[in-house]
Amino acid sequence: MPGMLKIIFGNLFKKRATRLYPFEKRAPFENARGSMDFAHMENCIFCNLCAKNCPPKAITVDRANKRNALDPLRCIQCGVCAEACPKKVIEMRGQYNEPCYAKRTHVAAQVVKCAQTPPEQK
Amino acid sequence: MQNEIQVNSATLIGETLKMLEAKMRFATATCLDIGDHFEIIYHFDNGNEMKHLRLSFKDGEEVPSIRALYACARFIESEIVDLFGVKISGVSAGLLLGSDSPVAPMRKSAPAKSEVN
Amino acid sequence: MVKSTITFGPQHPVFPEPIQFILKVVDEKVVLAEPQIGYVHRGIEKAFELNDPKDNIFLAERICGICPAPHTTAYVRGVESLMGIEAPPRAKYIRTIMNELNRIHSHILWAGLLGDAIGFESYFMQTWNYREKVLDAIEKISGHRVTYAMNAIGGVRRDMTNEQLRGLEKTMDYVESSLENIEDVMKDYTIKKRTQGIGILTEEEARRDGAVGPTARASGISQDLRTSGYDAYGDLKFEPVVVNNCDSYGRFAVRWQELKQSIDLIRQCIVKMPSGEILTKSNNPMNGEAISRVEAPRGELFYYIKGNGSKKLERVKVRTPTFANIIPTVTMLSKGCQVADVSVIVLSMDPCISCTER
Repeated sequence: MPGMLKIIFGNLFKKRATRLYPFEKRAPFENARGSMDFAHMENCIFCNLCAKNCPPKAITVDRANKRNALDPLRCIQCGVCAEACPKKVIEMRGQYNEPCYAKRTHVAAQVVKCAQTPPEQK
Repeated sequence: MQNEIQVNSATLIGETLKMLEAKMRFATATCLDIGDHFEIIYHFDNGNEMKHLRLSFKDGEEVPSIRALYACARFIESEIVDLFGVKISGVSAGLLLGSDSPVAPMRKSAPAKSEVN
Repeated sequence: MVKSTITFGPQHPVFPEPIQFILKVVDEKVVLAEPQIGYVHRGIEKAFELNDPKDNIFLAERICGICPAPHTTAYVRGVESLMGIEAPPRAKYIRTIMNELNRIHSHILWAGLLGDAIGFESYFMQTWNYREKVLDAIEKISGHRVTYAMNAIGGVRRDMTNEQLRGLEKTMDYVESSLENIEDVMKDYTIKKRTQGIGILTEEEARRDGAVGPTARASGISQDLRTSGYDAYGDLKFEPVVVNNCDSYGRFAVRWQELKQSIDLIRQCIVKMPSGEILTKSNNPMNGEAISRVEAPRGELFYYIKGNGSKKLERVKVRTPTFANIIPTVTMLSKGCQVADVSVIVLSMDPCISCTER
């Protein structure tokens, strides 16, 4: 019983063990691999190394139109592309991907970042 | 591999019995599809070293089961029958695969479609 | 003597994953148990043959959600021995640290699940709270909570800084002190009532049925692959934990002592950590056959890898510890246990089904 009282009073004055998640977010750790990002597209030379090394083949490089695309639902956040990139275009962000309603193309289009605006977009 | 003994369907049970008498633990068995024939490697372990029995047989040939000696061979043999479609006496398929699954998917001749490549 | 049949699973509150036991029951006593698996077979062994060996590391990591470190370690060690190369010492130590962290979080997870199966839910909550700190430590080192992606063929992909090592030491102190907080549960009357003498597996039966890991060690068999000295284990001082209880309580005790052992092993690794390279690069062809065995949290993890000199592997066979432990569990169940104890007995061998079926 005395031991129990100690726990009860302890719990009354202790800090909360959990976080109120959507309002209070923990900052990601330093090296966290939450999601990959074509962060410095201006340096990209479209060498295709990232697409070649990607284990789930989630990256497509379009050299003609100067775009890279990522299928975020195939991506496994392993960080191999970031290691392979000779120009350090790709970065791993600590932030995890947001949940999404639609699969594949729709979400992928949002992640695509273009080096320059593609010519004659319909 | 080291400590490997070649066996055939006739000598498998005798060699396995020797392993049992030497108090070896039956770790697992690996089935290999080598084009014109199949191989099952039985791996035994006694804590310090491993010993292997390599059984070669033709497709369609029925090989004996070692379930009577090692009870733990039951799931291992069922899995081999399921995935390779070989015949082991007294072992029926249906452990890992269902009735509408692909038949013998681990054979080299089985259609393999990798989504990645 | 009316025999009735109870199907236990595949969807059952105590099982996180689908496995079915068909129980033949007389009154409340189980007289026969028939396991059924095959609900989550994914064909990973076939996928190993189709993909690049480098990419297969990530595939091996995804065989099991609880123990990615032993799976990748076993795979890369097998491929390394086919290539005839060896990882540098620092990489071996980092691998050992990841494997031990993995063991700590797996055993704490298991302790929580056992509490849940017994009906002791606040224990479940407490243990998983402590486990979260271990996962945080893993994320700080590897960048991810669950899929570490640390191992590469010929070494590891990320180095550990001195800061990370110091942080890890602090986490180990925290985990040790918090485990002491809840250690009294082992002496609790109710826990003993629910586990002692339940699910007996004698030494002879464990040998006959090929039990591995804590299930075997709780039956008095001193079988721990770490004593073979792979990776950095050869330099570290430890004795395999063996108890002779032969019941569910024994398995609990083995895992509890292994938690402390793992904390000690990580401390030894931090002290002895050598400096130097972390990756040996090689383009040697993969030729021949290799067997690579690693002690995963649940027991012996077995990889058979065959290469034929080409760019892809010819065959990769994975035998996970739970696959070897299902038959011993059937032996335990068929001894006339109560229906209410089935969940405790099955959980006491720490089932991981998606691992088993690959």
